[in-house]
Amino acid sequence: MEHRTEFNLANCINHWKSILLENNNMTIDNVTELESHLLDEIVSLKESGLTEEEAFLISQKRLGNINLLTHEFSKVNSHAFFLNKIIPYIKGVLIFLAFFQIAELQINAFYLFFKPAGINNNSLNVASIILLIATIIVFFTAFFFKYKKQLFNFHYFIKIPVLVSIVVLSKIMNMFSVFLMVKNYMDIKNIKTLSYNLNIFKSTFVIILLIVSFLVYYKSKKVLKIAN
Amino acid sequence: MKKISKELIGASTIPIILSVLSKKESYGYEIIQRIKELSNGQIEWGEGTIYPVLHKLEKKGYITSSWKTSGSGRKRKYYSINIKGEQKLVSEKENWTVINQLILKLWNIEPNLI
Repeated sequence: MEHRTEFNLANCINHWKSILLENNNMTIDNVTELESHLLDEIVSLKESGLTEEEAFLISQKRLGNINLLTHEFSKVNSHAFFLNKIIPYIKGVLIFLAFFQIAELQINAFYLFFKPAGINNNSLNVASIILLIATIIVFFTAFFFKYKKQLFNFHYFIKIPVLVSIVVLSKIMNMFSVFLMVKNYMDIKNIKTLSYNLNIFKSTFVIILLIVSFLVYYKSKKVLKIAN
Repeated sequence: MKKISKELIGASTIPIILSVLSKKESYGYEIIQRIKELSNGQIEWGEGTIYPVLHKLEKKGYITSSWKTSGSGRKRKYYSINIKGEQKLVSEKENWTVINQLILKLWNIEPNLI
């Protein structure tokens, strides 16, 4: 006889809830309300003699399939639906801005830190390139580990208020550091080298991003084709 | 037993829900059980679809909702009708009476066509 794993109601309900929540047009409040309904139905079916598993399956069926539910809820939740859709785009743009500001800040801070030590233009050039390459590697490695291996959880970090404060703060610090650089050192040659490197870095980053976008696009087309 | 058409159920959902709530405040599951019981199981909704309707009624200002915790510690969202909802129910009743009387008259005048 086939061995059946023991039925766990809490796990099944959590799984069902997570599928509902993945849909952009349901709020947590909606899902809690549906869960309460499901539990009421399970209790009453169990009272009529069904096992927990049978009661769960029938309650789920009576409540309606997930496509039907999300479709019906989307009619009343169009506002939430729009917000949920647009938030990832805004986050993406903010991460992009924050990344550039932080890279610039790094270079400026590096300059302000090592300039008093009497670093010459050549080593400054090389060091800034290394620093920028390291930044880009760190960024893409973190990205890779998050999405491929699901190692990091940036959940608290990637929130709009946090991202906005990072962008604003690093922008202010950048302006301040440029002011310090010009006021204290007046070494236009150094500053030119740095901004040159920074611009190359920015273009490289944008090119990598464009290549990645194309790869993702073609990959998604391929995957969707198979799915159909 | 023959099921009532989707369109007719759709058209009657709002007056039915408002009527149930005009008796006492209630939550989705209880409303559905009440309707099943009163219609002898002839009216069967996709149970989950009652919630978007309730939310729509709440948005329009006919009913209000609040979360309450039951004796067993479960959270339930209760809905209750308000004055605007009562007024809506009165006008719905008038509309349904008009249709009902029309149909009764038509069927009484021509009882046996076959």
